[in-house]
Amino acid sequence: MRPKMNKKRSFILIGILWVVILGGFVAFQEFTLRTGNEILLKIIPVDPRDLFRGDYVILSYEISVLNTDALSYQGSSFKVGDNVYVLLNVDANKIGSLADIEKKRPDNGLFIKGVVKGAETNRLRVEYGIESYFVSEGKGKKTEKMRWKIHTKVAVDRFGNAAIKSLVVDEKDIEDVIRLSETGL
Amino acid sequence: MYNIFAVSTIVNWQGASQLFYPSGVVTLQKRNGDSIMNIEKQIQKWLDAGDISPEQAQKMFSDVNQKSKEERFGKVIVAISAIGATLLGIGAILFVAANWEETPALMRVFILLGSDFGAYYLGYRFRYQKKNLPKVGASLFLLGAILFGANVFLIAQIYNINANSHVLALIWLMGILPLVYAFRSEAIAALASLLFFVWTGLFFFNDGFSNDNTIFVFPVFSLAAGVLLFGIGGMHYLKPGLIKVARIFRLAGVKVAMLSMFLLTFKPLTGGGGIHWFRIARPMENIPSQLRIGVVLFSILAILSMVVNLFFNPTRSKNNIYEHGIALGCFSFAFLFIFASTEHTSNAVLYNLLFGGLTLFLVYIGYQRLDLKIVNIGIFWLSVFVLAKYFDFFWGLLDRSLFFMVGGFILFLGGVALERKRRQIKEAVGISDAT
Repeated sequence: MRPKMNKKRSFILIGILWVVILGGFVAFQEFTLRTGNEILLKIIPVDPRDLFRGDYVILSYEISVLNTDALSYQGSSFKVGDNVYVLLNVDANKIGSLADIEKKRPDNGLFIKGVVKGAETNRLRVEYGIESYFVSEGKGKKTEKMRWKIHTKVAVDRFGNAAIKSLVVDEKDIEDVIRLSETGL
Repeated sequence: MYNIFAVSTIVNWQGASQLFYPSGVVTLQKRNGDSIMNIEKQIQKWLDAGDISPEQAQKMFSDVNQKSKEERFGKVIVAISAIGATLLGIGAILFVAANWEETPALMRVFILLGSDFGAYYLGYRFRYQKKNLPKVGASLFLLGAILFGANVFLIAQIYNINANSHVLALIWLMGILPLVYAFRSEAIAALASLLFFVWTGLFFFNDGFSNDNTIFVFPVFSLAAGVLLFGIGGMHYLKPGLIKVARIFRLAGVKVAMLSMFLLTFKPLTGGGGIHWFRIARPMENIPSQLRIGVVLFSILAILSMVVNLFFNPTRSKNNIYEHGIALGCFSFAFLFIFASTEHTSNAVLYNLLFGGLTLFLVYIGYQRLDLKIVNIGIFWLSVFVLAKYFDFFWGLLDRSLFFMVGGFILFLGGVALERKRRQIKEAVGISDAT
């Protein structure tokens, strides 16, 4: 009887583990989306095709490459893999732009956490975990064509973690804009 | 009348297979590497020696053949079920990739989650509750493991998480590892091995890779990963029920380690390449801290696992000492590359000698262990190595046509020699592989 009970117990425990892992994954993202400050970031997208992930666009932001000449820290004081906290100014249209950078998490102000991917004397290349956006199949190219007008609506929580809410064009969701353009409206 | 025999020398905790006969019991304790052919040879020896009667020998041959047929049929079932599970899993992943705009994200999550837990539950029911379709049950576990990964990627897609994040592969791996141990699943162990290397690859190229200098650390990093998995596999021999899992991990580790060592035999990677646009010296200076930590951590764990295997493996065989001693030696030598790399050609020469020796060692150890898979790995890499070095040395020296003619002739002769040697080893080992 004991081996069967062990198998049953293992079966149940693994099921619980899967729920915890997947649930935790979702909860982590939902925390940022629901509690974060909403801002818009200007983008420059490039579209690759990933067979296993559907159509997605690679997003590059104005804050993806930082000129550190006028900032508190120079690019040379960072190494690849280091965390960097980018302080943001938000204008009346909720568009975020670079204010300054910090090596440690700031105590106040709106900031977004990134990872240094490239460091030169006065330049930093940073990723924030919001560089991919999944669109419906076949819509990548259409999205890429509107790149000069697109902003990313992003939620940034108090720890600096960012999550994409949607892509917007003139305050409208990108999927709606594409659908309208396909129907000729 | 016949005598009762008990063949001893158990290696690796093999169970006994008992053949019951009207006049008594003959117990054949299956030794490491015994195959149907060897058992038949043993029966013939007993018959020739007069220890058993022709009728008894006939019954034994018949039972052995029947058992062989059942085993083969069982393997066919496993193969078909596993292929079916894999195809279903691939279909699920492509379903995620399709990114249906008509289907709301939540609906997609429910469909995949439902399929995942459904496959998992059915696998348990068939294999452990009803016990009527154990092999199908095992395949359903594999399907559940693949669908778990599909769920991870679907959630990542819904939340627009970076496409090539190594964290996703790690989450998938962590989710399916308990299945390997709870249900002793070999197929999932193979999937876990694959995911381990996918994770390390994504970690290196997405989070650790910074510039042309650090790409040359990749073979050392992957060597550390291969040796680590080999060591972890060896540690599984400490628990009798995990022998087959141990073998899968060890073989996967050997394959990746050999590939890494092969990469290190090329001069541009190990120094003295004379190619001026590669800056090879002192790559550690430019390695990001995360990657450096990863390499050091993997290395420490790999060394620890080797030490555990050397001192705690119950077999205490010479083969065990050779395997882990040589793995430790190769790895230490490659690790030195990080800290003491130069542009001198001696590094490249040493790596080539080491690799050549390793391939021959693999063939030797495969022969010692009566393990055809290890012999095949050794022969494969020996062939690739000879071919690569032939190109390396003679490409610039010989006229093109002569190069190809001589090369083709050498390969032909080499192929004949290797095939003959492989057949000899195969006959000595028997048809089936050792565990």
